[in-house]
Amino acid sequence: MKTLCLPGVLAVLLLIASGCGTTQTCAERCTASGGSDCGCAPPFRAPYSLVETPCSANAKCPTGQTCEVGEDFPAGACGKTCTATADGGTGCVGDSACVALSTGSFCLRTCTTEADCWPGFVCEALGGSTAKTCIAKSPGYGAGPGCAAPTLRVGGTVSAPDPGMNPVCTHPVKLSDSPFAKLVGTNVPVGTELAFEIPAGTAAFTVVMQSTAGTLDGGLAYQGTPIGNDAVPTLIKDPTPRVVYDDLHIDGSKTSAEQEAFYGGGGETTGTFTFPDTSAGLKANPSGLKAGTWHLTVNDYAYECLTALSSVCTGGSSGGHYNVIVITQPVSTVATRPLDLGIYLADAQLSPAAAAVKDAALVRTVNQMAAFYAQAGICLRNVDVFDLPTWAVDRYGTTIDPNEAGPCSDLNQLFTLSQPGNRLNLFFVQDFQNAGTTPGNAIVGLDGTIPGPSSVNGTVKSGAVVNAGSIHAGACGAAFSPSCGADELAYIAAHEGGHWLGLYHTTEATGDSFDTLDDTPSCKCELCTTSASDRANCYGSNPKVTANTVKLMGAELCAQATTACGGSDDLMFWLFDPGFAKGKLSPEQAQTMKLNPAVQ
Amino acid sequence: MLSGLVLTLILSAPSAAPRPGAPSAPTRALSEGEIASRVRTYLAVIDTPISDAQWKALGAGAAPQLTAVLEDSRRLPTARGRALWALGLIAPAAAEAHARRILADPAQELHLRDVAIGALGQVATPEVVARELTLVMETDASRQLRARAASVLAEKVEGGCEAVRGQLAREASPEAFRTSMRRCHLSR
Repeated sequence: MKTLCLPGVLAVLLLIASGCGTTQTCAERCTASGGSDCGCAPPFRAPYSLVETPCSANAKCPTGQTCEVGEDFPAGACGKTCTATADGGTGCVGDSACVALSTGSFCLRTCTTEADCWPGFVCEALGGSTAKTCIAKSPGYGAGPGCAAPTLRVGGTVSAPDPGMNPVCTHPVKLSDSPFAKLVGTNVPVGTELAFEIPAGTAAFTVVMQSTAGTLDGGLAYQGTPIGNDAVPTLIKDPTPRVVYDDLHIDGSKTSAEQEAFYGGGGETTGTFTFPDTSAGLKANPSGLKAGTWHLTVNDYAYECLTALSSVCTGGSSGGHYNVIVITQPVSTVATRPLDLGIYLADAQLSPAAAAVKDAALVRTVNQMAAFYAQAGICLRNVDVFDLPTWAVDRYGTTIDPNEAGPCSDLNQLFTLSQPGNRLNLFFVQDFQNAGTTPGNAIVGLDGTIPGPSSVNGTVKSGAVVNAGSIHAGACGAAFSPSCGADELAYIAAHEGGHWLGLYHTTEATGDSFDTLDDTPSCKCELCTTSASDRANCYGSNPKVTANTVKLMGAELCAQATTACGGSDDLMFWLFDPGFAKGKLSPEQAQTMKLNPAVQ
Repeated sequence: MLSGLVLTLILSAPSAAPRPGAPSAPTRALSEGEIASRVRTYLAVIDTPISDAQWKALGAGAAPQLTAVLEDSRRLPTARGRALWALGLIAPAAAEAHARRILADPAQELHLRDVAIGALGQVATPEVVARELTLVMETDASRQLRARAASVLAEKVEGGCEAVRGQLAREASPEAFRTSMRRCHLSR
């Protein structure tokens, strides 16, 4: 666990005579020494101007402190270690207290009001404590550059034969429609290393692996829990050669943001992996990837179960064979980048497409979605609206069971209807439903994988589904309104599209896992709940808590303007709570989205 | 060191429920405030499923809040639909009454009426389901709702397939009835 001391009193206090001397304040001494001489005794310690200003290297920090750059301090901060305990912690001195944040325990300056804190910090009480400490503010969100209004077009009717009453499961293997794609391997067996070229001026690459040997997931189980057979490349090496991702050796002591790459799962038969996709990966490659020959090893969970994980896994297989496509994303410095969108009407109330493109509610939905993405400098450009064949509307329009998993599920079979082209594919349904008792209509969106297989359409993962059941309802004024059905749909669609473009939930439901980015606020259960009984039901500290009582991170708990207990206004928060949702996107979220091949 | 497979199980499962295999702890009663907070949260999920057990654990104390959402015409049909379904898990009798009222009102939004059909199948006796949904299947203007009613009849009512068979003969586009046809082992 990382720990950090953030001592401090305001510089003005240092004018008082102290161990730092009366002729030169500690602040002045720290300033004069470039940060190397800030060892004043409490309370006359280094001013925030040196110990909490952004740092990017340990050399900038006083002796004994390190520069912490991460989710809790996206701008960087110098500090020492402390140990959090139930009675407040040890290792912090003077007017600071030890507080457990999302990435570790930190000594934070105690405060009464925000005026006590250095700019960039706010004064908040966390974890039900009555004592307030200075918490880093949420990073700057802002409006992006302007975009032209998107163009809605009739995409035509998807042509697909009616599979009949007992449709067979299909998992088509497709090529990419991106000019930057290369098929680097065909029908390659698992365990095989492949080489691929990354040209100079490449910001990111995306690997899409498609099974040519069926699903191969029958009976696969990890410690008795059935799992799908995800396709995931491993041993990804840069030209030096240095391993940037090894699926079998992930440092569990690091957060997902601190890992250089992260694989999100869910890629049965069709797995997609973009590098870089974490803060650490973004920061390690600020001006693009190393040009030259990179390598990856074709791999899936069945193969891992058979080999490295055979002691804890059953049902393994070496039978996996894959087509492997690598799509590069060039470095770009332009302010705005276009993104094309495909909308597929599995909702009978919106079809036909010829009417839908003139439907004021759908136009509003698309324009609002465009506004969310414009914050990131991504401009929705062409929006092609497709009709689905009648049999598909009937099969999928109200009957997708979100609890049904695997490539043969209705959800994944629906995605095979996505049409060629490089666009984000959204399927509008009237409702989620199922034949059983599980409330399928408790959710309003669902994606294939994170990220989606951009530019490789027609696969079992080539889309996301959103519930358009409210599109014509509600009160819609001039501005975004969560009580306007078209705006709600826009929010859900943009959220699912965010997943497609590589974004995870900033905070997951139970407040114990977070996205891969530093500059999005997190909302840790133990920290942001307000009562002892709630904290006792945090899953992260009490894995025995039941489904019925586990504390879930409601939007009201994550509404601070801090990095520690914020995020309910972020587009990728796990909830759409009308009282808090703003659809914001952080700079690193924008950066991640732009690395996806769908952004052109 | 962990494998990606393990991390996937730990980190990315989009579930609000504890991870598989977690042993149970004694259940405690939720306060009124906690119930209200949970209802608000459950109704706000985007793509993270809330299980039946989680809804049911809220108990009857959640019914007034769900009813208020359901009856608030300013709320969106998606929210009202979720409230109706959840009410079916917590207070079936109340949910049945609401579902019947919604189905009887053709001015209600299509989405809400669609949910009401499912909710009725969830909470009502087979006799009530047969009576209410046969009427919808035979007379409603929406092909989608007729088909949805047929699928519930086929699943929930003994002899429902006979009614579905008769309706199919009257439908110009029986493809919409695919779900009920499959349940009834019918072919076109």
